[in-house]
Amino acid sequence: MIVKIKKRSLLIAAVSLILLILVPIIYSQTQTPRKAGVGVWLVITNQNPVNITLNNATFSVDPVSGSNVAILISFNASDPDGAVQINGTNGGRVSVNLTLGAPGIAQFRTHSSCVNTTVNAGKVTFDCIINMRYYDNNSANWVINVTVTDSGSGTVRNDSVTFTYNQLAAFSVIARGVGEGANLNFTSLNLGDPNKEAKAPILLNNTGNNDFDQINITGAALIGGNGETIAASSFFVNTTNGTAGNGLPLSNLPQVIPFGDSSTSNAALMHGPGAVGDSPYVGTADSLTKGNQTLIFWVDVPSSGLSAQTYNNTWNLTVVDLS
Amino acid sequence: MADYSKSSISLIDFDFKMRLIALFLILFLLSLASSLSAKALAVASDHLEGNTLTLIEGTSKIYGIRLQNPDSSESRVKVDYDGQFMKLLDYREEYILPPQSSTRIEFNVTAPNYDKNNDSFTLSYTVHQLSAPSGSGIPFLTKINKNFKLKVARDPNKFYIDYDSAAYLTVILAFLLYIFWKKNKARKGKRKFRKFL
Repeated sequence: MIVKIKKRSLLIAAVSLILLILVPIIYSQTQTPRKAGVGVWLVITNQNPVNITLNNATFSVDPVSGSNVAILISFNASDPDGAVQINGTNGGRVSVNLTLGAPGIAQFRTHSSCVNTTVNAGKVTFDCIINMRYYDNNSANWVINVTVTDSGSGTVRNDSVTFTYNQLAAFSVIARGVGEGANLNFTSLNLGDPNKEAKAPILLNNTGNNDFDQINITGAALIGGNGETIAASSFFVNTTNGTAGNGLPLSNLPQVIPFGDSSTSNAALMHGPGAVGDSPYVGTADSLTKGNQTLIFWVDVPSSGLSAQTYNNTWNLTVVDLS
Repeated sequence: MADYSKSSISLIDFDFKMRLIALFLILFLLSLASSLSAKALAVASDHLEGNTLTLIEGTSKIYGIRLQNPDSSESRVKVDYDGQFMKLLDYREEYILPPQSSTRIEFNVTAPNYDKNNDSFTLSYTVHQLSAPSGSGIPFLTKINKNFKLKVARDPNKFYIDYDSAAYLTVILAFLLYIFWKKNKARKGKRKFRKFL
């Protein structure tokens, strides 16, 4: 099909098209913004903070047994709109997190305090304190995540620096539920008493971030003031009180404490917040149950040869990391 | 007239005595509290990736540990170690750790000669608590036993002979020489035979 168009009509159509395109543009350029038709006006009211520089080089930190260690993270941030946009004068906020692992299941700690000093019109130095717990994992891959948000909600982030949280092998011993320190006590014993449980079990708390695969105990005969003794083999240790009196008979030699009445697995002392009951971080809920181990002791009192007196001696407990 | 000067002196004296008794009681309670608290032992150590220290044969590296005393009373500890490949620098029979303190000690670990079949070793050290807690009952002396691995790497600047490969090559070479010798012998035999004819 051949369509015939007059030259004049084509010219009119072309001019009309050009006018349709140009008129709104010319109109918008010559009018005030509030009367603008299809004109677009872009007004930049805020520029993001541009730079975060961490003043900490890669470093390593020792955990503190059963406690926190405070880490100081110092960094500079700048904003082209002026320091007032990030130093709190007009608003702004900073967030410093220490993370280990993939997002969602990472262990993390966040800052407890931050102070800032304005260096010049565009630059601010922040000093933030973050407390890490004794059971946080030992790793060289902890990442320092710093985010600065200015008063206009513009943000900049830096997660280029890592640090090492060292290994801490630590544990404490305490008599559970009684204010008697770390000692084991048996009370009201009579000759020939079988399966007499200690006044309180002994509680081992893992106060570091190291797992112990094995707990060894070395007993010794208890000695009275007149030289009478109760042999180490009269005492038994177990990790459960399922069956009173059952357990490993002590010896003067080191022995591995089994787990429960098992002959195949042994008692362990894993790291975790179990001793303090913290709810640490998402994704590691299993660690909540870890961090302590109870040892229950019994005695079979010999039926003769002992007089009424106090008997004592010192025993040894060894936690072993086999890895 | 009443003698106030004498009674005031005795009051001051009484006040002083009460303060002394209170001080004594506080000290007594503090020492009792420390003796009744948990007994703890702690050792921080340098981070090792995969709990393994890798060293090139014949080289040494310092491996540091820090003995912590988290208790509120002084603690005495002893360090035993496997001396085959490591040595404790500035060795002491016992270390006295003040309350809430940390003491750094260092091991100098030296890698032996590289052996392809025996390039990994387990090194071990034990920290013993020497001072038992006071109070009635049976006290426990605690110990921590730690292990880490020493992996010995080849020295990149050294030429190594792989004895297995060398033996294999020798057998092949001997076989080739034998074939060559056999052929040569056969050729000589033929030549002699032609000469004879």
